[in-house]
Amino acid sequence: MKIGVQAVLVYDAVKPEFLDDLGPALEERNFESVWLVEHVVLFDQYKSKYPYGPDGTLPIPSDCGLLDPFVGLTYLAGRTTDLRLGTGICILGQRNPVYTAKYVADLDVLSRGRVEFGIGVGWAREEYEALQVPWEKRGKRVDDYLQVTKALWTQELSSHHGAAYDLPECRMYPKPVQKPHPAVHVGEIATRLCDALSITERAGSASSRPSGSSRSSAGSTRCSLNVAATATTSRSACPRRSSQRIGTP
Amino acid sequence: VKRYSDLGVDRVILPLVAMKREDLEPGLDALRAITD
Repeated sequence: MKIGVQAVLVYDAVKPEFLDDLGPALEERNFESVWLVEHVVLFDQYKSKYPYGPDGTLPIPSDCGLLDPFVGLTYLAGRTTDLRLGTGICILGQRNPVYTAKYVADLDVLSRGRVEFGIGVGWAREEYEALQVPWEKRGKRVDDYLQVTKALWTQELSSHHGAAYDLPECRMYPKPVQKPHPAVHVGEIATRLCDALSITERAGSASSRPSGSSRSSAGSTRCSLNVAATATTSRSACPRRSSQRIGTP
Repeated sequence: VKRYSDLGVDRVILPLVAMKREDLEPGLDALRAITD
């Protein structure tokens, strides 16, 4: 059993001296992977309901200062040797897929093939609105964007023509180290809103999945779970979390 | 963890909310303790 840590790094934990210690501390304790969350902006108040907590509110304060996961993971790549580096999750539907494919590929190269690409559709409409990206049809958009990223990772001359994105023939290098590409893990909400995975990739990951698992592609079907944890801060704004699934907060 | 393993789950991801250096090692040790 591989044990990973979804690290929600806030306040002073986003500083380099914390990350300098985090990576080695994870490896010393034989954790298999670290997963960084994504929220490019936070809000003092949400109309959107946070789907993973008992009261529907995001359990971190709006001024906590999350790192972009690709920036944080790139830093951690330089401080670790074996630790797998995951986005937990990347809100693919609100990002440009070409840049996202580039960040994943470059991180895979710099980390010598240690990327786990967790994707989701997000739960916060406010975040989409801040980015001026449509909230509607985000599931279908993620399906299309995922095909864009795969084209850029695997095709020498890449192109994609879909309903949400039209990518003209172009070349993106370097390609990811992992072949055919880093594993893609689909968050819980996305599994309901997206097709996201091909029929082959879905094999064994639908009705037979344990509750709370995510779907994975590029390789054997794998499941990831977040389970109750006791390690959090004592600050009341960061309450203990339980039964969180990939893609949170 | 054993129950998840029996269900065919091959990776468990545990959440850690950290805001300062002194959180780090106690937090990771606590996570490790519940999985060992």
